[in-house]
Amino acid sequence: MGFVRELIRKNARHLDVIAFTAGPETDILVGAGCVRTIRTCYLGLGFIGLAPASRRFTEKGKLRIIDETELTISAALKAALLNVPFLPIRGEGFWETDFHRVRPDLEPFQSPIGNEKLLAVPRIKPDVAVIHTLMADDRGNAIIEGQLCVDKELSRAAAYVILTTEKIVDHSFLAARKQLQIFDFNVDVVVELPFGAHPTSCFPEYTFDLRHLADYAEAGKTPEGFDEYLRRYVNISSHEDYLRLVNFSEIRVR
Amino acid sequence: MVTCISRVIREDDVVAQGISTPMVAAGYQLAKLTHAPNATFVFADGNTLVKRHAPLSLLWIEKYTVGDSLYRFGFPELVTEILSAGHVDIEFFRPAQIDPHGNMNNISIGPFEKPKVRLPGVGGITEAVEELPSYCVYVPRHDSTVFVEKLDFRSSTGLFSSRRAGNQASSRTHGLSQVITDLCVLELDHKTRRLALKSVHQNSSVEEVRKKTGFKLQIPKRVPTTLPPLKVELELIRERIDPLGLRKLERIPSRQRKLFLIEYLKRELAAGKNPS
Repeated sequence: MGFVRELIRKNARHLDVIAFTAGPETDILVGAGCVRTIRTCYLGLGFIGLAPASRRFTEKGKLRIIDETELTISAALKAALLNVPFLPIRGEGFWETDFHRVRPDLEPFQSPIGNEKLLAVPRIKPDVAVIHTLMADDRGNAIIEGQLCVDKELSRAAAYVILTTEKIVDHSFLAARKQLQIFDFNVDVVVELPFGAHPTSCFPEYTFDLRHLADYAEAGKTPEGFDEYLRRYVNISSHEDYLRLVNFSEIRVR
Repeated sequence: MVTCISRVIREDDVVAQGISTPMVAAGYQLAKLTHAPNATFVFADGNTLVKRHAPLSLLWIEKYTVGDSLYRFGFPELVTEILSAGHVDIEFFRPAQIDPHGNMNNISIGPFEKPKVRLPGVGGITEAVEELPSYCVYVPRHDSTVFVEKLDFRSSTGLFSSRRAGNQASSRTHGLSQVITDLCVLELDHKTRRLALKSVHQNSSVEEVRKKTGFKLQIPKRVPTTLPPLKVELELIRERIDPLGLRKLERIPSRQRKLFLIEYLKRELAAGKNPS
């Protein structure tokens, strides 16, 4: 999230965003006019509700969403890792749906072995991956203790990998944990960004900021509300200034 | 509804739960505390395998799904090696729309290119409905905007007749088994391939179900009453599983959501200690 706020300040444009599950970090980029397409299998704020800016933009025809499923994104990333143009899935769940209308790139084909009908899922190789971690050394070895999602795969498939981390620590401290998720040879940049996931969570350090997200969900419903949110939380000079606005007592709940 | 969900789970089932479904979570915890103590949970929120029980929580959800887990997958491993590989027995899905044949829509209301409501998307539903031996659907507010004659977008299929690879001799009809709503329980008749009324809840009526369903339901001559929740089950839900009422989030209209969440937040912060 900290990275995304900086991206907005830098006026990023025409981004094609891939998010396995797309939440506030994607929605805020949409609302700020940074996004051309979103590729995802779930776009929303979970318990909090629908993604407000993405809804507005899509419903006005200003945002293109490429609908994936958990399996198609998984297969597409694996294809990139295997360095093949596609991976097949069984695809039976897709045959009689309307997916073919919106995903003509998912190609049915006859298996050369066994003759079954399969579905070819084209590879996705991200240009840039941004991953927030619990701790990392200054070379990019890193540990994630929360949900893994597709962070390991992204770090291994993307052409350029940016790591943000709650804390940069000594390599020997990391090594003693015996459980790296991300390796230095996959990482290009490491940035220390404490509470860098706020208002989302970074287990086990802090949970998500329910109040902040509920306010965002409301504000994001209108362009005026969204702009006010940007003014308050994004158009400020630094991450340190942002942290002054955070109510830690509601997220550091152990 | 929570007790209906719980009753579908069998002992030793591997039970998957999708993103942000507290009513289903309550049903799963009730099953674990009663007839299915060995059930294995596989969570999308967390990408983990968990066997322990814990009360529902919003703030502490990761302390349970991740902190109490026996294994952390990551989505691709979970999806390919557990779901696609056929190791999950049951999952519950919530559709924005469902048609008479159990096909569902989780993509958009209105035309796809310029929708009236852009929905979150399918998650893993499109492939899961084929991979699971059977699945269930739940609809916290049964009305004719959900039960529609024709879907605006068909994002998943109700019934399958398929031959499994490597098992050419056998074919099976599998797919949607039950739809649990706040008024009734429906089942998908595999012969007619249409949704039929299985039982009506004590607080509702056949007439109300008929009125609030946007298509013609198959209705048998005699419709039994859904087995009501036992007092013991209600006590477990209210005292051990969800004393703060998170499951109610699924029934409130979206305009009241923020208020509910803020009130819920205050209750959880006041409760103070980690429930798991």
